[in-house]
Amino acid sequence: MSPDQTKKTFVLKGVGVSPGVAIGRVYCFDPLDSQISFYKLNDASLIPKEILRFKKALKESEYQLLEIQKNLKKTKVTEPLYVIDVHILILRDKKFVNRTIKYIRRLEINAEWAVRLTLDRYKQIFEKVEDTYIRGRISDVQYVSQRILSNLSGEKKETIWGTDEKIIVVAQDISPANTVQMKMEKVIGFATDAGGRTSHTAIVARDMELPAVVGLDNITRVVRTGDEIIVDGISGLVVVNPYPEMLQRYEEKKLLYSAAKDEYLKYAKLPAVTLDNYHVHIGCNIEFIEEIPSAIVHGAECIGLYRTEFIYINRQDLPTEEDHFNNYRQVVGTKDLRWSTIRTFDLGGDKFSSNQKPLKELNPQMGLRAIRFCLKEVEIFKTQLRAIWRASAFGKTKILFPMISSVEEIREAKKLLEETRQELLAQGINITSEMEIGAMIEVPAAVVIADKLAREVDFFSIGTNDLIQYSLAIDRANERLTYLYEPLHPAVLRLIKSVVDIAHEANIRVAMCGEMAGDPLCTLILLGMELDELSMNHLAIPRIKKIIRESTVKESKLLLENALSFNTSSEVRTYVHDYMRGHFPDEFQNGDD
Amino acid sequence: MTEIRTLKLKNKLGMHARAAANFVKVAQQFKAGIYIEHNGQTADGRSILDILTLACPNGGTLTIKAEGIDAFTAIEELEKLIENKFGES
Repeated sequence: MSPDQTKKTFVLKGVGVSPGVAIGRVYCFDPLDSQISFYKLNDASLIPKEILRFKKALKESEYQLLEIQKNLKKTKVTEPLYVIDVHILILRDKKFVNRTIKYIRRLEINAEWAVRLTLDRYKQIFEKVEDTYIRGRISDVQYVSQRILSNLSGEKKETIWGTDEKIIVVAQDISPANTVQMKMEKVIGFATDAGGRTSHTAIVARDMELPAVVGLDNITRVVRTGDEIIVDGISGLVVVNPYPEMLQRYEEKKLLYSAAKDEYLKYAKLPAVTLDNYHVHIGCNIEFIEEIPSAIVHGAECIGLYRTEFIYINRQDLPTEEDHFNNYRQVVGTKDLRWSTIRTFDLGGDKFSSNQKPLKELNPQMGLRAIRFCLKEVEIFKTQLRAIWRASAFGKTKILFPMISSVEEIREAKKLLEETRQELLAQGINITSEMEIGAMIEVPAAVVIADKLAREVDFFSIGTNDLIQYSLAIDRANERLTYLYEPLHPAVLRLIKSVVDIAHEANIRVAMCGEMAGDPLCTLILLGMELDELSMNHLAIPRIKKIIRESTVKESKLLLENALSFNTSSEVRTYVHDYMRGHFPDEFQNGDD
Repeated sequence: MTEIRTLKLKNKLGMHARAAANFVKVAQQFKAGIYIEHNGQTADGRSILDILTLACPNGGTLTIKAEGIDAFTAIEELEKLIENKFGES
């Protein structure tokens, strides 16, 4: 277990200025105050020497910038060159230089201190400027001051760059010249306090094709070098100390991003209808409202899974009904979505920041979490249920209960849902007259009693990630077991097929919202089972639609039948892979699928 | 010799960093002292930080003053620069 698992997960929202997903360790880039000493010159005769030292640092800084400019000119980076020009002109700015010299002379202080005072003075001046762009240029003065200070100290810094870690640079802002000080081959992303789409960081990141989120206000203060973070340049989010499930989801998103091609986007807006006219509803899995725009761009018809855990973890105290409601209303109220499926809290109580003494569980995956936790903490649960009801007045809403393993649990959850409905009606609050209720099918026991659960709910949603891990008894966090994690395991296929068949016999819909739903290799297998809805990461949607539109249910059924006849996972995989490669030669190449 | 001219900024972003840098680079080529006035504030035409903090927007009016032996050429060149929107496309 990595030490990060004991750290609290939190999410910062900024502006995604360069798309992609980066997962790595934080390196806090050069905070101004580090290792700088401020002192008074104890003898006025030292003043000329100090001024000379300052001028030497200016010269050295200018020389370095000119060198950097020369090197950048050799590379394809051209756009940010003028920024270095600006920095050189600041170094030569008489007002800037004289002000600093005046401080050294009058206050009899060392050059470092004087530079710091000059910077502070410019901060005051720039703060008064109304134009936000100009006001932001204080970052240039800051950058230049930083460079002078590091030259005054005379030391060349070498820190985290020596390690093998993939590095995400966290800074106030990153100028093109900074990148030369970094070992860029180790840098995989940027996250900064300052800036918008036109900030230095944005320009640099897009130029280097690295994910970046800017405008995070205070990330430099809340993370430390060595923290694990995720930079989601698509949605403009930074996740600090992600918990294992979230980390896995982002690993998936990262892979999907690198596999996604623009040419697939032309399939985004088309319906997922097979050549023999079978329509599969395509949903998107999200956990932040910020992800909705990309969901729609990539062709989601609905939100098939809205994870609500974030509302609980990103705060000091428990979320109020209003906190929930404000999030749900935005999801549900998005036009272009046919419906939104909101899943109730799916983690354990240890994820609450407010929980001072979380119970240590040896096996949290099988612990007191999800519906089990909610049925114990009824008031926390009802707060969420009320908010979901209230949101339902703003657009079609479905509710989904996770980790159901018995009929009692679903009945108990429904009872509480009904109680909250009555309470809201009594208060005269506007809510929907009918909300579909669903059960997640992810515990093997739920598969076995699916016929009984089907009588209790309007739809099932198969969570393949957990279903696979529970039925094959593999801890997904255990890297030594990854080779056993196999969606095409004959047992897994049988479990899924049986859920779909039972649901359809009982006349209810079946969705799938696990990773398998967005895995192109499995698409025809799932078509063959006639799933009603596949919900996935937005990046996977266009490609899955393409495959569905170029296939038939008829062939898929045949493929499924053959796949089910094999005895081993590897036989199934080889067969399915060969089949898919035969039919979609561009999609499935050797080795990668 | 003193030359004074009042000009309007036509480039999209106003007197932003790149424009200011170009202005300073031209101003530095002359012996004349160069001053810019905008909204009652005066900036040294050779100080990029001075010019930036004037925060002159697109459409804003600048009064440029050049004092010295080559004041006329200086102001001609600076006017050209502003008219050409600082060489921006």
